[in-house]
Amino acid sequence: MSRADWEVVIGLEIHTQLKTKSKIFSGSSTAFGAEPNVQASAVDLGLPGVLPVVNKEVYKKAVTFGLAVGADINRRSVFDRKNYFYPDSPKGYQITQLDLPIVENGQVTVELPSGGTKTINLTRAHLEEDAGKSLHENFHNQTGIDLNRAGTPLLEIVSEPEMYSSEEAVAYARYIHQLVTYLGVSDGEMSQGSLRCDANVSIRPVGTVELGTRTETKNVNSFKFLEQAIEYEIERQIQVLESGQTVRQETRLYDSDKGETRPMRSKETATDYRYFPEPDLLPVEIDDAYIEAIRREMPELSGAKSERFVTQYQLSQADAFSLAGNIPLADYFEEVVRSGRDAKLANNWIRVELLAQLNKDNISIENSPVTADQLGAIISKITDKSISGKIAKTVFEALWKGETNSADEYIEKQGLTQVSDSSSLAPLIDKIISENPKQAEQFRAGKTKLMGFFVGQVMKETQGKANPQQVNEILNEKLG
Amino acid sequence: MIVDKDVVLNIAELAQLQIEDDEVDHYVDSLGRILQLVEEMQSVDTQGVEPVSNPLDGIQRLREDRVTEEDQRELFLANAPESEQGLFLVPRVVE
Amino acid sequence: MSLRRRRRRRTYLRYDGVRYGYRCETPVDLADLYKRSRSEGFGDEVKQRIIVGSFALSAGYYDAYYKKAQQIRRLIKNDFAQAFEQVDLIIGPTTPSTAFNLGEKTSDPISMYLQDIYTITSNLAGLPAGSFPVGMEAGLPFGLQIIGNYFDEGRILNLAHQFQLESDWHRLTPEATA
Repeated sequence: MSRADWEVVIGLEIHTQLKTKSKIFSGSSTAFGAEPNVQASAVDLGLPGVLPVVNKEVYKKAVTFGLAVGADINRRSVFDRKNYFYPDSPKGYQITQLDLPIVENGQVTVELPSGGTKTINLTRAHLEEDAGKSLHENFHNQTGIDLNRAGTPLLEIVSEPEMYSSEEAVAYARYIHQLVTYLGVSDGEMSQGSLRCDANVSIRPVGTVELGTRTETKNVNSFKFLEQAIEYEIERQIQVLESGQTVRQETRLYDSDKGETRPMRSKETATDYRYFPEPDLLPVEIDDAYIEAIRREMPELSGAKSERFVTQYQLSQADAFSLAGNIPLADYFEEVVRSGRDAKLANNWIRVELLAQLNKDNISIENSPVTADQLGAIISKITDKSISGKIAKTVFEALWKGETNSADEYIEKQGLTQVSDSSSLAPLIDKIISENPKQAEQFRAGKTKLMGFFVGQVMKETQGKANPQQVNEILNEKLG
Repeated sequence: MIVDKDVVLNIAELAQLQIEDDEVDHYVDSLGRILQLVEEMQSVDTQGVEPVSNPLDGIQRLREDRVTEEDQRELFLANAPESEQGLFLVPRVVE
Repeated sequence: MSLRRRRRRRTYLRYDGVRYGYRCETPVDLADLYKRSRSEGFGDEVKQRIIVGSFALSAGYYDAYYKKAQQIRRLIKNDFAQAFEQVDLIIGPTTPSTAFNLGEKTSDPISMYLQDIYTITSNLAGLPAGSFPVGMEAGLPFGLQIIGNYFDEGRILNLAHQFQLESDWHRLTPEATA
């Protein structure tokens, strides 16, 4: 058997830290990078007698996300306790939402890098508190506990197990990351742990329906590692099953140094979390007016954006979907076409030239060396025929490399403006015809293919700056 | 429900309690007797009765998103059995 | 008098010997730290209650014990609500007997639990209640409990105050500790 004989099934749990000033149940700051434990209050430390109080903003963010993925927003949601002992979980339990989460049943459609789209259903998104951090270095064989992160609000977004490749899983995770960042639900800073994925991976023989035993690889904090962890897990499970063993249901960790996953705990401790409704918190109830107020404040979502791009800019459905699905890219596009620039041309330039360069140099659109204004100026120069498409690429490259800040200035300085002035082109064309009498003779005798030769000569003389249309016209006239 | 040694030891593991061999019988006995006492609950008809988790049946009030806590690290660390460089220390956790 | 608004909150989990409280001597690893700190730090009655509580929540027993109990709580709460439609306060003994000797009932968890029998219902229903001394039995005080409706603490305090204006039981000290 080989890889082709197995079908992969992946479900993701994405933990995203919510962008709030204070924690979910206390008035401690959530700012990243503080000295250890200076942002850990009595509530965060789980001192006896303290009580949690829910942060209003956390609900607003969760509802915003729910609306963005077309989910059901539960008018009544309830917090529960999940009991387990771990030093970075100060109370001996985590407050989370089990039976009545704030968000249920959403759906997203994402574009796949290899082409096509994929629709993924979201089971739920629930609120919970983050844990602290364990530091294993430099404490003479002890572990240091920093509880600054304990109580940071998290939205855990749970997908259905319906992604069938690491490509789909990564495309989905990227989409969620971009969405929560765009909505302001999260700051999206992955290097600071603002978005962490748990990947549930199982395999089953192609053609079977029953799911295989899954493993859960926890806390993967980059898209690259997510892809690597899933790929490693697929290969590992295939090897295990093909050698006649069974996959153990377990929690694993991805070790990015070694490029492998391994069981998280040496011995799998008891995982009976003994959930029960949190007696320290009452149910949270919200009404339609609250939800509608949030809906009104929300920025335009990709579906509506895509439709608008078709009607407003006459883009094709596919182009519009692709742009709108990537919000920073859509924003970039709209900036380029501001003041009525040619939208189709802009779309082509962005999706062909710009994206190719960005991908090649692994730069995000937000950090593009060529700004929307600069690309817009190039588009304007092409549309008013000041430069040809070929020259435009030269200008684009100069901007990309930082050789100039302004397309206009560069075109001017380098003398790249297209020569469309017949009074300067005509004498040049006369000269070329007289220098190539044989070709002129053949042309006049009907060998019109030679037009290309003459145009080429003109371009050579003008270093590509002649307006090709104009050259054609003059040549036809002179050789006619 | 029959309470035996394994039940008690499993529960003790969940609750992170160490129960010595000579104590197990004591807890088997006491848990068994308490469960016998509460067995009477099973005779009550609770079909369709909504469980109570908070008796006031109220709705949670939410607080504004404001930072109201100040750094009290030194005060809190003074209570810690062991701390260093602003951190609580525990025996090394192997992952 | 003491005013109770106690809830059966399971807060024992947070005592793990990490941030405060008792820590066992020289733990060899994390599990040892947790288990010994908690086992050495808690008394027997607390440990018994932790075991009962964890059992009631554990997989397979939740519905039969924890959820069932929470449903019965609803029925108790409803009973009180009905009663308070007719009366302002409910008055009765605080405990079934006066205090027993130290260590006398440690081997009998049931009778230990039953000491709470009259007071536990107001805890379950979340009602305010107060207890104050109203007499002596063989040199030991016994108490009267007043249970009031939700947020009716004022009436409980008022009644106790009126009683204590007319009586001296609260000024007496048991012989055993005199």
